[in-house]
Amino acid sequence: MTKLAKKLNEEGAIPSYNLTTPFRNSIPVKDEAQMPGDLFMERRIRSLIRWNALALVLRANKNDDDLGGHISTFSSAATLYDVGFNYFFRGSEGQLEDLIYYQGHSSPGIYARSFLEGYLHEEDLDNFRREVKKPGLSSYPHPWLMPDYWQFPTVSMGLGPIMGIYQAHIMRYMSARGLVPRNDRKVWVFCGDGEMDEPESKGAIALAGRESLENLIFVINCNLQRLDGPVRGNGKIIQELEGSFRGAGWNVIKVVWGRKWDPIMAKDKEGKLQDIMDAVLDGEMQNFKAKGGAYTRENFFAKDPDALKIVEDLTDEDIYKLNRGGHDPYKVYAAYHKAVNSSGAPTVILALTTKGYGVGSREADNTTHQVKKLSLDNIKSFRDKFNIPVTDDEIENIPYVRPPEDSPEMQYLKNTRAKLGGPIPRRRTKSEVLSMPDDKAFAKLYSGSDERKISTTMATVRVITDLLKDKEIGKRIVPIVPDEARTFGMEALFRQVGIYSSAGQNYEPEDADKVMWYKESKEGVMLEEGITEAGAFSAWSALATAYTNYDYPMIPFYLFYSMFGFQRIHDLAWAAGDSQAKGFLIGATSGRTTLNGEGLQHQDGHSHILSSTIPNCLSYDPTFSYEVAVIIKDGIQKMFVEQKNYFYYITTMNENYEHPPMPKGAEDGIIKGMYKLLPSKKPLIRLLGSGSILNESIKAKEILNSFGIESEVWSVTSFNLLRKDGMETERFNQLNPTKKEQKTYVEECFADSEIPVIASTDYMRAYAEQIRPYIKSDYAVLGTDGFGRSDSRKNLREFFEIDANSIARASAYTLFKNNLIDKNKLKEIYEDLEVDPLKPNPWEV
Amino acid sequence: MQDLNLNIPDLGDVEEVEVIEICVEVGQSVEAEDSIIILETDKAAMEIPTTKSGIVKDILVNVGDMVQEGTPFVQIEFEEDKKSNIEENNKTKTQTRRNSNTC
Repeated sequence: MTKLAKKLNEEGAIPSYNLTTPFRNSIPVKDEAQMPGDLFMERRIRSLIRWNALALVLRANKNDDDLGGHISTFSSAATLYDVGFNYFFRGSEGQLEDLIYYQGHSSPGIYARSFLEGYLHEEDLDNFRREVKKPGLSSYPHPWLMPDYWQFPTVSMGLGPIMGIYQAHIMRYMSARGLVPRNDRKVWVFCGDGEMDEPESKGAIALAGRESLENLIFVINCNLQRLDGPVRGNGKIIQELEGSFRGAGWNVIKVVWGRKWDPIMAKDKEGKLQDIMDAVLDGEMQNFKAKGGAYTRENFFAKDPDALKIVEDLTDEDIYKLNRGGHDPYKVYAAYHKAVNSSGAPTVILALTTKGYGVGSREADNTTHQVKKLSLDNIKSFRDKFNIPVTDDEIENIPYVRPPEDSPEMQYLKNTRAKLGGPIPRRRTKSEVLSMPDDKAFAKLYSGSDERKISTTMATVRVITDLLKDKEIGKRIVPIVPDEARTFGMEALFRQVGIYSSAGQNYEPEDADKVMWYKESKEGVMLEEGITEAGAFSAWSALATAYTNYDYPMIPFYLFYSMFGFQRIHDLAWAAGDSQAKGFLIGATSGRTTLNGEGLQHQDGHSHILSSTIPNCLSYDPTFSYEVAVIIKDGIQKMFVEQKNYFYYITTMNENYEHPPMPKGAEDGIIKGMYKLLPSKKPLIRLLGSGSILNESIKAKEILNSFGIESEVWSVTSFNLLRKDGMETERFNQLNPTKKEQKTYVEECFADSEIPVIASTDYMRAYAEQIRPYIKSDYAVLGTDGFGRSDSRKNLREFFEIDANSIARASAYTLFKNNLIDKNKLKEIYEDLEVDPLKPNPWEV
Repeated sequence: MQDLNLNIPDLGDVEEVEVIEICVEVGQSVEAEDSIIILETDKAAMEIPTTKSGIVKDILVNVGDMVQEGTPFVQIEFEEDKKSNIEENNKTKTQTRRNSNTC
């Protein structure tokens, strides 16, 4: 066929390659691996799991608390999970567990299984979505809320698929470097067909194919419905996904029809029934489940007289019961068996299911996603369908059902998990405590740059380069870039540590004769993920949680254009916070006027505002190389020695200037958020600055000096942390009114509270505004509110009014307002600074 | 045993760069790929390694010196490789790599 296509192509024709196969199971009946277990026993157990999942949602909604919950997603996916739990998903006893990304909305079913296993109790189930007063069960998988249970936050649509792909990628990376062998460990990603419309869901599937991630299995629950209606009413989502995944190099296994279809399809000698199947729309398929057997006969089989004849002996009830592949454990087992035994490529299983399977009249209706309450009739119908031992008298209370400990069901359940390495999900809460690296990686930067003009980005790369050589923790340091390593001055690392490539390097690099040649290697340390911030961040996230998922802490440094950090991938960063990620995010080329030439889309003046929204993200905007060193050292200490659940965001700049030696005793202030850089005997005013704009505050001090005004200069490494300290202190004082009042760190620093304060940064005013409540004197804030644009740094700083002259202007005005200088002095300063009262607002032009 | 000068290799786009750090001392034994000196451009630092193992006999540059491609920066007494000629040894590994590929 390939030869024929080639020949046709040579003749000028473009042969049509079809990426899809007919709408039926990919595995022929004769090739199906046989499920070894007790089908009836497993159905009884699965039915109990279904019932308890239903019960916990219904019970949570038997009052006016508006707790919500979802029944229909798990109803459609129960068999997909159950076959995995019974035969495939490995637990963590004596091995590293399979990493499973559960579809967020199916959480009730996972809790129901843990209840049968005895890990959760009735009280826990009754605390579904009730988490404030005692540990309850979180609505969806959230490691932050259930740290010993859930491993991955998946419910923000699309994040599970992309994080799962990069997890499999990192699993291979860790193994290739000899850190943690992957053996045949798997990453399973359960997601919905509607979820696949998120760009993140499919955005990285080409990477999985290209990297031959044979350790990755996607299971897409194709129940054909999203929240409002059909996923593809006018099309066929399974066929569409088959084409997309096969095109990206995946093994595709379709599980469309259950085994009740096998004899019917065997009679379809002419392929008429297959023709109907290939043409039927998902919108119609939904109707067949919602409207029953007679409707299906009339609107599906009757499309062709031969097809109609095939089912002439079947009653309407028989037709309704023709099961879908995703609800048939035999078919699902065969698919999983094939998937785990495949090599050389990732596998996707596309399983046709029915949304709201078994929930009576709500099955497959357009509103079934939101169902959290059911009529008594529907509950009874569910009970009867799944043979749940609950009487009519009991049913209104919707009791949980758990067979006695010594029952055959419980024994079977426990044995199956024992064979696979214990119950899941479980999250490892403790891992190795690391030793601090040799201080020399940091100490070099304490002494300043010795008149050399360098940037904080260069200083950061120096620290990373030295840490990579550290005997204790060097192998755990991973520099990650989404391209742009050259922008950040990291190209020396290409040669020094190599770029990870699963293929190695099968070509002669163009720059092979240069000292900083582009070296790719199977054992490479650096991750060059290409132009995908979502992908590079997902790789960081997998490494930042290696302490829990691999029992092997890694220290990843992800360097990126700060504008393309949180602004692009905030939802993934939020999930990283939920996951208790530990590592460093380096927002390079930061500052709205410091990255001067790149213009409006590139100039970041707000990433610190965005980072401050994530509760466990500590962010810093250092100016000098010693500050960078102190912050990174403290970060390693806090995250990997003290085991605190933080991750760090540090902005670095590309402006070169001289870096002074560290003032004595500055470390504590650098870590807390500010310290006095330039003292003054009798300061009239305090100047605060951060990042490269601190240099403007230093220049402003000289300007003010020339007018006989003395000032102090403070380096503020983190307004965000000063605000956190302020909130904590205020709250403590409110809660403990009879105890000695505590002072915020800002108040401690500014003991002479009447001295006015002027802050200037390269970020929106909101960044420095955060400490206003803790400053008792007059406080003026300058910042870069407005869209950026290209020009020289000098002109941009003048435009945004954050330069030394603007700081001097704000200082003079504030001093005048506080009667610390008179009108004549103010006038003199304004004239000297050439203040233009008609200058337009930077944020309006 | 042969004493050999190592020269600054091709640095890419940059012409003159400053020596900011010397990583070895005279008399120290070094392994192939160990960094000998660190250079710094206005954007990046780069470590210049030795191509082979040996003993550092002399350091030919000082911190603060400006150097360029071809500047000798260190003299190393290599442990072995007596078979290869001086010319071969004088090249960095990457240069050897290109030669071997007959560009």
